[in-house]
Amino acid sequence: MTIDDKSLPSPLAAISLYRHCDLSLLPFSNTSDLEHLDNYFGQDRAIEALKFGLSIEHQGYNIFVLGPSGIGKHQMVTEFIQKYSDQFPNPSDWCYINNFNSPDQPIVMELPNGMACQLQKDMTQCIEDLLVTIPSVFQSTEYKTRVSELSDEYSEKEQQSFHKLAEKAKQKNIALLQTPTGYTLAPQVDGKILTTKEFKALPEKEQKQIQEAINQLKEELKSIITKMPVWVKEGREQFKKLNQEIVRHAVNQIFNALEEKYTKFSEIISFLSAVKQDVIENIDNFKLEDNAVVPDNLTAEVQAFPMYMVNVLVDNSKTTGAPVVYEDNPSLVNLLGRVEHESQFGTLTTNFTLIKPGSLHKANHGYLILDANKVLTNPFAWEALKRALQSRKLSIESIDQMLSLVSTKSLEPEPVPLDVKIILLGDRLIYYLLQAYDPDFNLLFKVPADITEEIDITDDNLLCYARLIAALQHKNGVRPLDQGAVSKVIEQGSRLIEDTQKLPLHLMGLTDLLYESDHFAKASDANIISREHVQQAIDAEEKRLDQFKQRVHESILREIQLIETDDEKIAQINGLSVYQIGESSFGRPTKITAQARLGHGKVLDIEREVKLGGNLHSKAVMILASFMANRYARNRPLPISASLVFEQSYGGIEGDSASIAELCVLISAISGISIKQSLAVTGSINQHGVVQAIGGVNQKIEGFFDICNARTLTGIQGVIIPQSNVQHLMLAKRVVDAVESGLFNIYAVTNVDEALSLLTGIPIGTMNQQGKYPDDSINGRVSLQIEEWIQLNKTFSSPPNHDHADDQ
Amino acid sequence: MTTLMISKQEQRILIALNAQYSNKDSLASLVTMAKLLNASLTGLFVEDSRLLEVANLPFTTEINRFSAEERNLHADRLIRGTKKVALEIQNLMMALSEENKVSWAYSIETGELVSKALSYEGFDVFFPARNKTTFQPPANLKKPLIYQRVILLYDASPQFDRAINLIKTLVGKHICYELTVLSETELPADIRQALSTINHINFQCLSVGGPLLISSLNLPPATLVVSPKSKARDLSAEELTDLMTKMACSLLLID
Repeated sequence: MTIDDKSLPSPLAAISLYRHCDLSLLPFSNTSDLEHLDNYFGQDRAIEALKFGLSIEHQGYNIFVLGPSGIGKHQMVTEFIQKYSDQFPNPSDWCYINNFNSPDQPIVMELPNGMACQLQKDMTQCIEDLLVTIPSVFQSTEYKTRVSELSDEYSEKEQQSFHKLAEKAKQKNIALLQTPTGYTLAPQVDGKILTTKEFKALPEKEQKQIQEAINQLKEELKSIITKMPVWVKEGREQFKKLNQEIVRHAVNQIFNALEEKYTKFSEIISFLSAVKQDVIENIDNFKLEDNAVVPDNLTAEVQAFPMYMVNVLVDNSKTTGAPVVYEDNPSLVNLLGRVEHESQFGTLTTNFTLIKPGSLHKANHGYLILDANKVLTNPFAWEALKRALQSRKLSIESIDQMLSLVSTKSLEPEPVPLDVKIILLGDRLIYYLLQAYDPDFNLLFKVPADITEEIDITDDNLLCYARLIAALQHKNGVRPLDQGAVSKVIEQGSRLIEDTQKLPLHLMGLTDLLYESDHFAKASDANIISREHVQQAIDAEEKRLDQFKQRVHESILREIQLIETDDEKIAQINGLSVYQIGESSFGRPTKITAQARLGHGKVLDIEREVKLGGNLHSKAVMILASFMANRYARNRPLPISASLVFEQSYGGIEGDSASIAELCVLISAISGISIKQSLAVTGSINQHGVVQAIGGVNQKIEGFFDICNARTLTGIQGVIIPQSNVQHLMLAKRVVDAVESGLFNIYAVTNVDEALSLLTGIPIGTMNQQGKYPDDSINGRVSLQIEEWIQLNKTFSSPPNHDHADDQ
Repeated sequence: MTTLMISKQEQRILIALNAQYSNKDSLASLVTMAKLLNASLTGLFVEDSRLLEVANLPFTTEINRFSAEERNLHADRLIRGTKKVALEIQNLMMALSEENKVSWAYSIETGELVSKALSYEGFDVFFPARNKTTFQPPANLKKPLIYQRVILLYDASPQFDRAINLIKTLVGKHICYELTVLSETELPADIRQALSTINHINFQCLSVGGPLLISSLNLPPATLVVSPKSKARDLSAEELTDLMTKMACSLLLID
């Protein structure tokens, strides 16, 4: 029995294979006529979320922008936030100053916009003034006279003590003499020291008296000597007082102007007061050697007083509105800042002027945009960012110190109060993984802004999309596109996302296509990009990446890989698959074969057995086995053992798009009905035999077409696809042309029966009232074969007749 | 006006030194001055004979200058200590003189400082200020102005004219800013005239009873007392020693 052609699904008309953009909906000659559209086109959901996230002030309402890379979310988010931030007042400046009480814990100061640099300049000038003024005070005659007086006073005090003692000794005929290392006392008569002989000649009583007098004077001498350190100390204190007194007036004059200037800022006033006090207490640092002159250029001298300087951490004097910062390399130090060290005589030292800001400092009171992937892959950065957001304080942490890698002098700068909104950019996988595995994430990033990847094709949207193209064209400095070029760009967008009802919002891909089209326009000396230039760009891109595709097709055409495109074969079918290698993907036919025999109702998936089949593929095989059992063995056993295999497949198989092909070839194997090799088939099925949509339909069709085309199109070749995939068809012109010429056919089917009829040319057969299929139908022949195996199975399963067996 | 030019060949200065009178700043000032005057220097270090006698006494002890520690005074140790100081001063003199290109000589004798120094004829005699006390001003203020003030003792000897010329040289080189003339009598008109020709100096004249009164003036170390040697000869060695003990500044006797 052969099938009536009218009962079979008709091939699709050429018009349904490619959705041409309606030029009447694009009323312009070229894109320079169009008003530009911003990057937020089609992103209403994400923009709404951004507005919400930016305006809510509570803790934890940071934003995670979800979207695939290349969609343009960074540019979109940055532009949006920059516009949004303009409404806010100019941000504060931040600086670190010395903590005179604890130099390793510098003090942070928040100052009005632009004031930090001013204060820094003022302090530098102040130090220069001190360097000039103080030495001149010390070189004044008045000061030297007072020092001299003081020096003489103490010197005299000391000398007088010795003179008095010497006088006292003289009256007792004792001489006070100075030795190289001290003093000694000796008896004398008329200014002459007694010799040993003269002394011994004296009466014993007199000798004793002399000795007693000497002993008494010795004690007094010792007393004077022990007082000397006290006098020295007193003298030095007097000097210090004198120094402080004499410079206080000069120093006050320098600081008065500064104190008046910053009188409204109590923190600065406290700082100035501390500096002033320190200058007075350490006035020696400003003195010069006698005859030395103050140099004209004091830059080097000023550097010797870092303790009085201001380290401007963040200067926002040129920032308008809240700061918007994008950190391209969000490492720990780039986020939190760092304390640098400098080598001095081989030793690493630091001070508060070596504190450098991180991007969190720069973005404080504003917005910090980060790539989630980069933050997560930089060691310690994610944890540090979370800590800062949780504590709302920005403490500088060093990896070296965290890991105890170095042991050197370091600082503990006062933490900066943190008020920042973080905007993380990442793809969906990262977002969902963080949600699942990081409990802190949900507390800190409460606002997801989901970027839309495609929009519906409507009349309005088409024009808006053209305006978006115009904006990108203008922004990126490429030639304007004419109406045809825009329509081709739109059609290519639909083809890329395999949906005739949608347009992609992948701005990077769109921009690349504009660049490349512009290149071909330039090569042909055109001022306007036309449809041909866009087509050239598309073809060139395909060609750049089609080497592997060519080699695969070549191996098929040389019959190294066995794919037949004519004749009919039992238990053999052309399935269609898509190869994805990097950016390149292409379709190709794959031969699927089946074997069936008496068995125990098991369909063997050979790919699965050798661990080349994925889970989805195994699931599909199980579904088709279930379909078989349900259709042909609802009330009886299914004594079949079948096996399925993708021939000449040397890699993994995944997906369910071959399930219809596998079912058809299995039925062919059971029934012995041959399958047309001129057709290839793709689609998944459910347990009821309904054919479901698959991906990559355009590439699959083109892959089989290219093989057939190379072997000469006969008009009977074609592809069977799911009906639900018709809306995805955006086929290459060569295919559309062939279909239009009747040389190639594309069939859309809704169920497996239609596919089987097309593949075999035999009606599927419907069950009669007795529950039987016509014998010459596909279902009938399958049922008969199963019945035969059931009977055979019964023969094998009946108890063995030993006598008879023996006879045999 | 009486003017006596100092002969570059004749000018010789003897420096009277011992362990107590060997102030380094004072020596440095003298070498600078010798360079300006083109004078030669002769260092005379006198080991105090009295100390050696004391060291031989059985009960004599020494009290350390800094620690007040008491220990026996041995002659050997005293001699070694004195020699060490003498050598240090010699090295200092050598360094200063060579640096300033001043010719110098050095000798060590034993006796009493003043009488030994005055026994040399044909020399101006310089007694440096006594050594610094334990009290020291801050480091960068240690260096005093070179002879901020000069005290000139007047007598009618020809040496006084040489003294005036010396003062003129010091003033001309900006190492002297004040001059005080002490005189027991009215200054002669020609002397007044000679003194008044010295520019850029604060000059005053005081009448005093005698050179011993200098000790009551409490002169600071940056002072140079200049006197004709004849004036010093009026004093006994003991008086001169006593005067020096009470003075903190340097003394130059013009021969």
